[in-house]
Amino acid sequence: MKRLLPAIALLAGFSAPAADAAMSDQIVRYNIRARLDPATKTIAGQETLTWRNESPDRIRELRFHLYLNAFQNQKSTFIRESGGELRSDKMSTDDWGYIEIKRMHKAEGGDLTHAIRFIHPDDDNADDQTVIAVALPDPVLPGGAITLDIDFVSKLPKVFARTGYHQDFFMVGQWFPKIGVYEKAGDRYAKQGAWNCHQFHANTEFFADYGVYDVSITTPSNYVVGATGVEQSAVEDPRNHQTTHRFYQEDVHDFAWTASPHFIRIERLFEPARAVGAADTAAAARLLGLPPEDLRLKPVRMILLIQPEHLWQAERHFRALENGLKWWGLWYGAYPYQTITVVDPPYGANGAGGMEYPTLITAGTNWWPGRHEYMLEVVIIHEFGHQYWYGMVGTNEFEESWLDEGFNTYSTDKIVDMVYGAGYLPVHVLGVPVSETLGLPRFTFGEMDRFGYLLYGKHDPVVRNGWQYYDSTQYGIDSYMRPGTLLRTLENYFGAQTMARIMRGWLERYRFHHPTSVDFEKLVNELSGRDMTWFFDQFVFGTNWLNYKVGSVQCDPIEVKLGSYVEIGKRITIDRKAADRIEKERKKKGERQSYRIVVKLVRDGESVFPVAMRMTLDNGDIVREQWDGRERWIKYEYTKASPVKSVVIDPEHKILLDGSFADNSYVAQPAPLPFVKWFANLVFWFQMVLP
Amino acid sequence: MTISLALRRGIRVVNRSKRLWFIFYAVLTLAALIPAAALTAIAFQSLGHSAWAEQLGRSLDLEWIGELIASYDAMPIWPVVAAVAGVVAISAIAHLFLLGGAIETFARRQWFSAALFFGGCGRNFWRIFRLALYCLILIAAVYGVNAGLAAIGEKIWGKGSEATPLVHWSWFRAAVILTLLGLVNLVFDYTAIRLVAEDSRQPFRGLWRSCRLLFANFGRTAGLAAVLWAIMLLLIAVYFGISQLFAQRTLAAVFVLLLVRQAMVLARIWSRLLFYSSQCEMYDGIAPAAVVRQECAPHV
Repeated sequence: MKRLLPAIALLAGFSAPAADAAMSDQIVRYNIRARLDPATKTIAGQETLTWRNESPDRIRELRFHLYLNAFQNQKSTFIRESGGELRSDKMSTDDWGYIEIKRMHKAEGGDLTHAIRFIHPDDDNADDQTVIAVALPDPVLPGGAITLDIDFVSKLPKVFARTGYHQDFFMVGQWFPKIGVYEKAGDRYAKQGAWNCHQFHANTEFFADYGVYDVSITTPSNYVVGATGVEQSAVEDPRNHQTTHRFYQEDVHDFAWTASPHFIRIERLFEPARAVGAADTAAAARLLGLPPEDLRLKPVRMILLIQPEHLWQAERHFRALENGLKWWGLWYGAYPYQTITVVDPPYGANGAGGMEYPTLITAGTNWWPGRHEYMLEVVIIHEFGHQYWYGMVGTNEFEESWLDEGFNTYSTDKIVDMVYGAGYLPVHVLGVPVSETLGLPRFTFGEMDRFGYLLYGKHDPVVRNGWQYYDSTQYGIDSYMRPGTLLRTLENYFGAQTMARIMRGWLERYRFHHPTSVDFEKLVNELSGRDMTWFFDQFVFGTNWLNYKVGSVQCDPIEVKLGSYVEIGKRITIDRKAADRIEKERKKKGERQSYRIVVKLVRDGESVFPVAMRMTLDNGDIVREQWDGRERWIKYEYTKASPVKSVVIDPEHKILLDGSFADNSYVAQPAPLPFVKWFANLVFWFQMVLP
Repeated sequence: MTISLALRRGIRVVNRSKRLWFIFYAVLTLAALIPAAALTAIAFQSLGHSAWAEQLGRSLDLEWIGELIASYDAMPIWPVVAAVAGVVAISAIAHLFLLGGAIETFARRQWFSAALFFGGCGRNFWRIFRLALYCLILIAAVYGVNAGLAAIGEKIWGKGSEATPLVHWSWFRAAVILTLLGLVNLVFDYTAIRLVAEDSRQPFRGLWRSCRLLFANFGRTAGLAAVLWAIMLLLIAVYFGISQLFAQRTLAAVFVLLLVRQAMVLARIWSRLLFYSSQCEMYDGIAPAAVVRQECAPHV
């Protein structure tokens, strides 16, 4: 807490507002003064917003998100869609959250409060009040700007869906009137200029323009405060024991903060020279085809706000964060901001855990995470990863959630599986982890992704509006696990180098922009040098299922065929006896038995994917085939000197989108071990649990 | 009657009743084979000639489980749960049936004979079954206590910001519940012995009388039970240690572990029978008039 202030002072070089050239177009500039009242759970705010019109259109109306109104009653679209439940967290019905605009006027004069009206662009729910339109008396001209002063009061709900309070812990996200994104014709999918300002849905996150946030937060002095950006000052007013913390950050598209008197604040410096080995840098440079100097990372101030009962886990938090900074930095580019703050929400505030905001993320551990359970790590690395996919590449989370969550799942799982390896599922008895003691199997996160994809990957295409998925599970699988599996399949198809260059190229080309799935497809085609339209049509924009299988394998010794033949003008008959004699003579001469092998491969799903087949013979010979996979089935026929031992489609399990690996192979002599082993295990387990 | 004496005599009695072990073993194994075979058939149906089976020989594969569930187009969880619950219920009833015979053999202090054992099974089944139903009510009450304690913990600390008090409370709750369940088990055991020893058909009355008897001799009865539980836990610990030596990577290792495990199952049965034989001895010591004494001849 305060004991770390001297250390902060030492790093004062970090604290001044950045003087570098802007990284983004900075469409918006927010100056907010907010005062937290812990007793009433409200925030009184004064916001000065400057919005620049970058379009060629004359803008006669502004649109704003009032996200907190999703929690003001059961009639909001969010609550209707979610039923008041999100991520296993239930919303309290005895304390609602809302936001009220008390006054809105133009800085140069002219009240706009009366011009505010609620709209519901996504559905027919007239009771939803999460979006407002403000009619302007004078349009904002192309290249012009408008500055508004807005007084508002935000009442926080009990922690739910990322934001709210729990006792004296406050996680303050989506808390201020936030302007939407005006898309001119040609931006993303826009055919003509229009506001992109969706209602707050249960299955959606956010989308906003980049800008500058200068926010002053006043809280009781005993509160520890963390927020987006760099803390510029903390000025205490001793008369009322209130302290005002000023945070400043450029080139971000949101601002969130947290406050609690119980946080233990620990700060460390991420020093690339110490944290990143030369070997790792060299390996990443080889992968990307770049000189190692181009992968140089920057020091970052890591701030951990941790609960006292989790203090013993601080090292794990920092190590995970360092791994995030290191690997995201090496693979995709250096983290460009000066700080990253990790918030550990208290027990009872799970709804605030596992969330990303610019330069501030929330993690979430438990009382005793097992040594080889990596949920703590995966959450931190994942939420940190959003600084790239969501933060720097500002895709629209309402409409294309896979571009942030799916990309992030892919990247996170690669890091976690590489650095930590397979982990145990968190099975706890009386708060104590037992998976390791019980010898339960360990899984990688990559395996878990495919598990989710197999179970629920059928109803929707990956790309669609968040609120239009079949259900919240489908949204989750299609946003996280299925894209994770899809991108790993793409990596297996191209090879690690090409994929690494595509992902880095995605960041480099669209840094601080708002690209789309189509942009990604174009980038993939360009950087891979192949037309991958077929892949995107089927697996990103389509719902077709993929499954190749070994239909049948027939292997027969070639015997003398019976019948009547004409040989050298003479008809001869080969009966059973004659055939046996011929066979005997052949063996005497040492001629080896030949076999006729017929392999049929089948495309069981609608999707088409080129597949490899490997046939192994008893004598060790290997036959390989490459099938374009277009027909419903294909037949391969061989005459070989040895019987077939096994036939395997996609032997390296590269096509992770294949709905079944079990039917991808055929072995002539199935191994009895697994059957015997698992049957014996089951018998014993039942013997031990039955009365 | 001391704990040590009851235990020594109990061990002697169980050790000379080896055929009893095998009857219990056979019934238990049969009950285990049915769901195990069904689950194996469901699980491995998709593998057939698949090469993936070899991978499963090493460890359980999450992706295979995903494929398996997906192949049924929905999680077949409820039919499986219902089938397993059915097997558990049938197995429990079979256990109660056999228990009557085992206690009859121990309480009459006779050598094992099929007539005595199965006669006891039939004669005592309904009274022990009714006793089990009463005990189920007691177990439900214990779970009620558990829910009450959980609610108290939730009320005091549930809305707080720390998990620590709730975790510590869960430990306390677990200790209370295990003690109460142990007591219910103790009451069940002594009442079952009383019903058989007195040839009584009144399990409800027997229940209360046993409670009185138990609490009048609480140190000895509870002490004996504690020692018996300790023996069972020791056996499990020994098994756990030994089983870590076998990685099940070859058929031979699977087979050896199977033997070790069957030894463990027999040890578990032995230990459970020891509860009854020792407690019969203890019951004999604390309520000598009640037991019908028909000592067996040493060499019969």
